[in-house]
Amino acid sequence: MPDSFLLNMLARARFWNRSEQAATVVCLLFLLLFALLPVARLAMELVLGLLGSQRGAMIAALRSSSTLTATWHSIEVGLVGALIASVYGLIVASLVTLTNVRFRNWIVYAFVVQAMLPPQVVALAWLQIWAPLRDVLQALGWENASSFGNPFQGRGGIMVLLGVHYAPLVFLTVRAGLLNLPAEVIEAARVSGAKPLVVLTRVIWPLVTPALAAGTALAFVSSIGNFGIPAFLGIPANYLVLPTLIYRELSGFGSSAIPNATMLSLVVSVLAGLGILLQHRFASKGHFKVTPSRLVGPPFLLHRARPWVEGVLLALILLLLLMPMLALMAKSLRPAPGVPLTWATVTLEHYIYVLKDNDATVRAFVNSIGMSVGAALVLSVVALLMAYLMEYRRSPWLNRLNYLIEVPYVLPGVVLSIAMILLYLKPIMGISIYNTVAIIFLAYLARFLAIQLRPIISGFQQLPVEMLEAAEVFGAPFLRRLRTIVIPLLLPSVTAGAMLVVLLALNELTISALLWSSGSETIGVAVFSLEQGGESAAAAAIGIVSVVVANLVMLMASILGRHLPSGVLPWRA
Amino acid sequence: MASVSLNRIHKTYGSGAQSHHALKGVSLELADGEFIALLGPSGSGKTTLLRTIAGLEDIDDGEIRIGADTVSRATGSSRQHVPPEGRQVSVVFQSHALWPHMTVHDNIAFPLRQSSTPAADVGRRVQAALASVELDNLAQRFPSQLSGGQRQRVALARAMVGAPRVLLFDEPLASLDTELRRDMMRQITKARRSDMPMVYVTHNQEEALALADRIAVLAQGEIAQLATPSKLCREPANAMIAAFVGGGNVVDATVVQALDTHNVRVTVRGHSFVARCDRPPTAAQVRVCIAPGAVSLSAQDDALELRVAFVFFQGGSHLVETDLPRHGRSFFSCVLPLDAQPRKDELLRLQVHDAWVIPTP
Repeated sequence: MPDSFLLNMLARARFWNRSEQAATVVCLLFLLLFALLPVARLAMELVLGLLGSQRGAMIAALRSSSTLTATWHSIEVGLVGALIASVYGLIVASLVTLTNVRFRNWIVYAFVVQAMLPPQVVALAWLQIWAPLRDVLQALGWENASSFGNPFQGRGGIMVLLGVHYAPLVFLTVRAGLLNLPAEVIEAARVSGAKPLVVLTRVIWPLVTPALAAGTALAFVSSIGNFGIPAFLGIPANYLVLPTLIYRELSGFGSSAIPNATMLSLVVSVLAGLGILLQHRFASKGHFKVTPSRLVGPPFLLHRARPWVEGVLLALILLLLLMPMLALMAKSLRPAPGVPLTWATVTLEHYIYVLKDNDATVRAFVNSIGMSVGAALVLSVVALLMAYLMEYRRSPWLNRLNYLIEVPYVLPGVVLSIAMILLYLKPIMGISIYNTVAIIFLAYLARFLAIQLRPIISGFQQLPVEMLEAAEVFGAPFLRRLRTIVIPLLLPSVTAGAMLVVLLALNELTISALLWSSGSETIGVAVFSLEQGGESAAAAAIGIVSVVVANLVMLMASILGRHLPSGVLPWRA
Repeated sequence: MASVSLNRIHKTYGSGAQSHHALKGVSLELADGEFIALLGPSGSGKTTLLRTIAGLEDIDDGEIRIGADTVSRATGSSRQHVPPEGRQVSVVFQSHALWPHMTVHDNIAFPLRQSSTPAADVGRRVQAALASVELDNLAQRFPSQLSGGQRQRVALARAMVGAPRVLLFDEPLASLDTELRRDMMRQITKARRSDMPMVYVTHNQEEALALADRIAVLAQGEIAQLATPSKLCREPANAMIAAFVGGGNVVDATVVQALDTHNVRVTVRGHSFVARCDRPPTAAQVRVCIAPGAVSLSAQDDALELRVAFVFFQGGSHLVETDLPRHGRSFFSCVLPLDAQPRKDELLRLQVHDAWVIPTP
């Protein structure tokens, strides 16, 4: 219906004033520059390369044994990781949502915090568990323990860690699905004589299957794109997945590095794309239009089993979250490996080293904090305008391009990085941003727009449209409407989005690993470089600092939580 | 022997200052096959009471028995609670609550499969249940392919198929429009069985009056009156019920003379008429309930003179609100025939045919 579309657009355009039109242009330019251009540049490289002189090299790269091996590795860790995430997330979501366990908010927070920690720090932390564990095993009489390598390195460790790290994604989608179930559907099954286990397996789980499948597909996509975990656990064991293979290609930087990496990015994009298609397919199925009556309380009341269930959940949190973090902290406080950690030997020298004495790590903190806060500020403004134009004005242009907003976020980070390299490798109009912080900052703007926009959109959707129409009727022009109505009402959503952007940008390694150079280090890069250079204790110190910062940001966002539309903060869903 | 018996049920939600005492010692006996409606405004505790019978809520004090079995008992610190799946009861929910991932057949078969009914029996009984709600040919549809009225019929079939000991209804007609409402009322009447009592929660007095053998009016967690529909309309126990059921006018009247034990002559604004009562009033001032239809125009000298405040044309008659203040609402209202043609500020001369003296506690 292009005719009605055009007429509709013209009819609306009459009501738009100049400042709204200007805002639309700004938003469209932002989308073109940060979403469309990098993807188009990557596509162009692929097409021109395959048609031109690079064809042979690129095909060879695709068929090389290292590519095939890494592709298979990506698929296997992606599938097994997603499977672990799916089972673990489903069980915890069911227990927390459907039973009367106590400390529910703490369990949800502790569970979701796993996904909010930097994956490279989590991997580093898990690596530290082996030494004390080995000592314990030896003390228990297992003499051979020391002859084993670190069991967390290599395939199995990557699978388990990806599973644990992305289980919260499944947990959140399943929990949302469970909370969305009408209470009466469950009650009808119970009064029909069904035992709790029958209700769970015949009624509840079938109804949340679409949510479970969507969450699992999301965990698969995230596992495929993850760099930090296979970088820390796989590279030392020479077990490469696609993102780490791309990293190795680009660090070599021979003449074939760029075409090879471009080709590999195509493979990883195809894998991720399949996962995204599946996820969308399932996500759109998940909505049963039944009733507005939601679960008011948990349908299954545990009596004697309650302490046991709580104990198991607590043990999981201790084992999977606290234990690695304690091992990491022990590492960072110990003067040298092998020195027993006591009150007499404990030292802060590694913290002083990374926060004060080492220029590169100090620079990394300055860069990461500056870029994450800067990106959050820029994106707050852009996302607020975009949400206003999309949700209130139903801007036809922006609403037709809205899938572009998600592209840089759902693409694996390495793919976005390669696109940015291709785009900015050569100076543009005499200015080169390659090898500076600017290229990382631009990549952050592209990647995190979706994160900043989501809470604002849901805030707009919960804002009665009459509030804005009333302001319009009573004569407030666009900017005043924004200032007096939209910003005050949506400030919590904007702030929450900004905090999520800060959190993700501070934790990020996938993008900066490929884009950094001396002078433009990030916190993630600093951890990675120190660990690769053998300075594990210093890496652990940065890891602990970034975990503390991440928790502080989350707690700050939680304090805002009660002013937020539901579902904005993942750990309060 | 009563087949459902509730004995001084207490239920409190929350604790401390936030707590809400939803049921305050409710007792109720249902005979076999009896249909009782729980009528009351929202927040009166009627749905909570239904849910305690179903086992979806536990109780804090009292006892619930179904047949010979005690299904809930709470005294002091001892608690006994049979979960819903062990009670052999059925519920028809307001939102039908059909499972969207099962066909109509599987929805209805579900309760039978829980009691491990032989497969051949399941098919036969599902067919019979579908036939009883006149939906024989829709067995393989999914709930999303049915209309609202059909869904509620399937929900009724599902509730009846397992031969429950009690059938419970939680506002089953609230989300249906007028025509479907009438249709479901027919279906529910058809579903009555001599060995299965029914409890029907509603805030709609029309449904309660039309369907029930007895009506329990609930207010603030207590049964305010338990009576047959006609008794409830003719002899409300208090002013709240008089206003809530039948929209009766409660006005102040002066006692003139007790005629016998069940009739008393009273006056309102100089108009004297006979009112029914359950015992002769002891005070000189009483409150009487006058139904809007229990008056007519009169030419008598001692007629009740009322000034018209508002007129609502109702198709076959006029509903007139007048300046006589009454309890609970601000106007005395009455129904006048079409040809009366009342006008605003006109002085009406009325005669009261029937009235009921609200008992004093």
